[in-house]
Amino acid sequence: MASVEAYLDRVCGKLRVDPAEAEDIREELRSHLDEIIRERLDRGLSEGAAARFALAAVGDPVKLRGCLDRVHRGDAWWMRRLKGFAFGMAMGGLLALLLPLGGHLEFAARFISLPPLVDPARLPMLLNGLLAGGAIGLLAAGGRGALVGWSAGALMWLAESTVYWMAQAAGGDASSAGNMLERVLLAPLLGGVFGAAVGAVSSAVLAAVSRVRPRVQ
Amino acid sequence: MAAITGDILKGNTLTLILSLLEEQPMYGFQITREIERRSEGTLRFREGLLYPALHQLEKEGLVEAEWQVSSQGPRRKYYRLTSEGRRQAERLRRRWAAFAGAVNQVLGGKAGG
Repeated sequence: MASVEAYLDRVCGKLRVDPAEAEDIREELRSHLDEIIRERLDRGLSEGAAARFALAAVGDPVKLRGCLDRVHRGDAWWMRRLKGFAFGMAMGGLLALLLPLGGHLEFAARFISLPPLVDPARLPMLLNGLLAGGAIGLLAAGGRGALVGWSAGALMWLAESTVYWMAQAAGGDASSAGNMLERVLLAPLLGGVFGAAVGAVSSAVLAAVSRVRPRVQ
Repeated sequence: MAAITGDILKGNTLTLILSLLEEQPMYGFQITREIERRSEGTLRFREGLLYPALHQLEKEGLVEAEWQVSSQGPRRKYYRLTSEGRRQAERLRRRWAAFAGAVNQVLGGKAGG
């Protein structure tokens, strides 16, 4: 029916989604319109009147297209990952400034210290926090932020501490290597906490800024 | 009673959809007719705008969709609740019950008008 196809063209023709998805939406709307038309034909309306009734019931095509666009457009996968990286960096950097987790795992006595942001000694820690946070945010953008963050953080810190410990041991510094072994054991726990915090917050922020509710009336 | 089509319906659309889908999988046209039938015509959707809501629910993982061939007409896209959708339906129903109860308390005996 020409009027139905023209209506569907107006709704789906300019939808900013991939063609297969646009065709799926078109078929679903066509199916709905067909159901209304059949219902009205059964009640004695002419074909033209039934089609007009159906189009009026489904509503303004421009408004419908706008609603569908808002729901389907979303972010491309790479944009979502990019945002995750940015949120993760921000969160990781902030945590690294507030907690001494970004460097080589200094311990509880310093956990509550709030060092000056410009202290040059903190810069490596900040850099670590930014990079690790960015990587965790990137991974967590795929979902399950806290779990992915925990796993990634624990692995990163474990790897870093293990390499550091092996370097100490290879250099023959036995006492330092002994201390480092303790740190290697603790690293996954601390890294996991860091990662879970970064992953959970960055994915929550990402979800909040990406969420678009359709306006249904 | 005059049909309700505005903000009151808009704010509770997802509750209505999820509650209906709790009973059985349904397609869009069926959902609109079922809401009209159960509300005796009081709740009326602008029918096309049901689909952005359904697609949003699908994107959020609360429903799953599947095309099925119909013996009586066009193919139909059925929506069914996921387990997360069931939990969300329950949450929304509890929230609605609390809201409706509070409004009734404020209105006292005047709600029946």
